[in-house]
Amino acid sequence: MTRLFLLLMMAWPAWAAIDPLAFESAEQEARFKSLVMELRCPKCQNQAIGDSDAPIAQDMRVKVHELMLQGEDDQSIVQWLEQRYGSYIRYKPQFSGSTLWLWLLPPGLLALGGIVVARVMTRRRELSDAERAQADTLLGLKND
Amino acid sequence: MGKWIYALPVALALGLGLLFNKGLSLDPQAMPSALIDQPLPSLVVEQLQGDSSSPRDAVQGPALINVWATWCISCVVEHPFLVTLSEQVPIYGLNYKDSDAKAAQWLLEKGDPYVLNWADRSGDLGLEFGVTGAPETYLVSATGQIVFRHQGVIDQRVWDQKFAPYFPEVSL
Repeated sequence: MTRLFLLLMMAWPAWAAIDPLAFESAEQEARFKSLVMELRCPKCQNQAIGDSDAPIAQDMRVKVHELMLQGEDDQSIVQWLEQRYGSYIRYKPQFSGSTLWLWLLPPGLLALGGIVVARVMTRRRELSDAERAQADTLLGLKND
Repeated sequence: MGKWIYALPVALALGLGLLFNKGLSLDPQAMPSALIDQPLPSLVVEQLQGDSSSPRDAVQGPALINVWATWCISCVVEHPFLVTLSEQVPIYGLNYKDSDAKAAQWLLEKGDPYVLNWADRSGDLGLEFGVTGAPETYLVSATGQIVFRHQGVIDQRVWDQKFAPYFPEVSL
């Protein structure tokens, strides 16, 4: 009995952290779980609200759940939160004026790197006969 | 070019150093309100005193809306300054995720600087404001729009730097 009690005591934080949210279908639950991982917690900044035990993250999960049961789609739920918390809360920033560089910089740099590599590669030139002979000597392929 | 190419890594390192130095002085928790220049939330919430109202209807700007709770340790530090401030500036309270009884006891013991207090027991009104924690203070303009949000304690220094320019007639 005491053992069982101690075991339950140890398990307590684990089940206390799970929100008692009811879903209409397994699909809806899956949608919820993926959506809360896309939203960034405003208090614990490197965590998604689905990952965090902060009170604000719990409140936001409850709100997401509530809006979902009201029949809102993912986009309008994210918009609801974005209107109040800013674009900050999106883990995946939208493609817009202020985030343009965020999206274009990595492929831009990649292209730049490609150009540099291509130029270095094509600059490699053929050896002249004298140079070839010298190289052969150095490599010990031919004794003169 | 030639020789100058060797200066490039140094220049890059210096540039990055300046960038990182700037990054170190930024507060990663700071997050400007998404509601700047927007009207106050219209959600109707029960007040500690019993009536219900929405911030949009109840607040007469220019004023402050202060998010506080009895569980918030920094709020204890902030409270005396709010009491002094309330003699000259209207302050509306948002009692965030708290117990009504504890909040009433707090106001009785430490003084009540608030015009009124919304009892946001579930944090719903907090979500409408985009609250990230307590204490937080919103400046509301005369036309009822949010001018900015301050996260953390308001003290004399914060008042002088951030709020005082909006209240030229207030002297503290």
